[in-house]
Amino acid sequence: MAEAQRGNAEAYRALLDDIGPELMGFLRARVPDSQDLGDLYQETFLALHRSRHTYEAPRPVEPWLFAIAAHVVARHMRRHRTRIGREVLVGVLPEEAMAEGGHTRLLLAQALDRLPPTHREAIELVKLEGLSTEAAAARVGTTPGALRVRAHRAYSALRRLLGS
Amino acid sequence: MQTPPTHERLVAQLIADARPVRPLWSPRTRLALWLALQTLTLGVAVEFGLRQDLGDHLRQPLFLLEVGVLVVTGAMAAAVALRGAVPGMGSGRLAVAVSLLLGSAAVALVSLEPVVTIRSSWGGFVASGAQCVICILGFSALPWTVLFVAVRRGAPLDVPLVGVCAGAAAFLFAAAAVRIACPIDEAVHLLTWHAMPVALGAALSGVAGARWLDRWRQA
Repeated sequence: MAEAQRGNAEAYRALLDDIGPELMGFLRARVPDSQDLGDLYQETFLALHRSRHTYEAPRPVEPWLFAIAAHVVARHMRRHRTRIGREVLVGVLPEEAMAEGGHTRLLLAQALDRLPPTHREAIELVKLEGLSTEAAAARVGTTPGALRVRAHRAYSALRRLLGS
Repeated sequence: MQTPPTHERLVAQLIADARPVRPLWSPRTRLALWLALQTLTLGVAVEFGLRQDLGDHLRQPLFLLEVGVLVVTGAMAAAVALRGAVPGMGSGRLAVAVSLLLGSAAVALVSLEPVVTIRSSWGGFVASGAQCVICILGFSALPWTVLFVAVRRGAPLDVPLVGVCAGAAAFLFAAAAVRIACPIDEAVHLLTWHAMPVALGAALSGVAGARWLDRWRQA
């Protein structure tokens, strides 16, 4: 990233190619609608590009990158909620919405949405992205023990919210 | 995990625009520079203050504690604002909580000031207060602008919080400077004309932050 800040195009390309899949995983775990994924991926890359001067070498790139990505996702969610609030409910659901797993996925997304941000993050990293506790703890900048506690609490809250 | 089909085109566009950028100075360096500016503000207050009995007051623990708490809270708020302008560094919830606690402590300390009966009219109370408010605005204008611009150079995520912290930092230091310079120790005067402008200034700065610090709107 430091090389990219100096204008080294090759280093910048290597970095963007490197973080692409990881970023996609991050977004996929947070955004249920696959149609929005491409837009968010692009938005995150643009945001990263515009704020590349704020990266401080030699700190790890991941916390910086995922903070930007999380912010882009949060903005998207806010916009989405506003849009949903303005939509008019119809009497009959379109067939697409009744597709296999659609309802369960929606319930899960709503339940996740109601969790405190730190708990939601913990469960998303460990359960949805499949990271190890150590890797997830490193990503959010906490200890594995603390992350385990957050994930456990999130799990209990989810069970309560989903009623099973 | 696969990238979307647009990845290659997106990367090519970004690389075409990958001019060298000057990395932001670390929050620690920028905080040190800002504190140096604030030291000048306090120096001006000591040098040109109206207080004749400053020497006596500097020996009073309560007075020193009041000024100290204002300065420390201001420095912490500035640190939170500057850190909040760097993604991933976090504005530090603990620091925000401690700053709030210290701010409340400053108000509590001011309330402990002995009650002095000032035999002055409402007009006199307002006139002396207006002078203090003008001084606080004067002392905070440049530091606030400098801090706001410094924060805007970064990429703050929680823009209202960063704005509030920038305002609180500048106004708390100004309040400390005016506390040194102002000859009135009456609790009502201090709460009305010293503490209120800090709270209002921080709130207005939060509004300004939400309006002008949001670099992400077009992202």
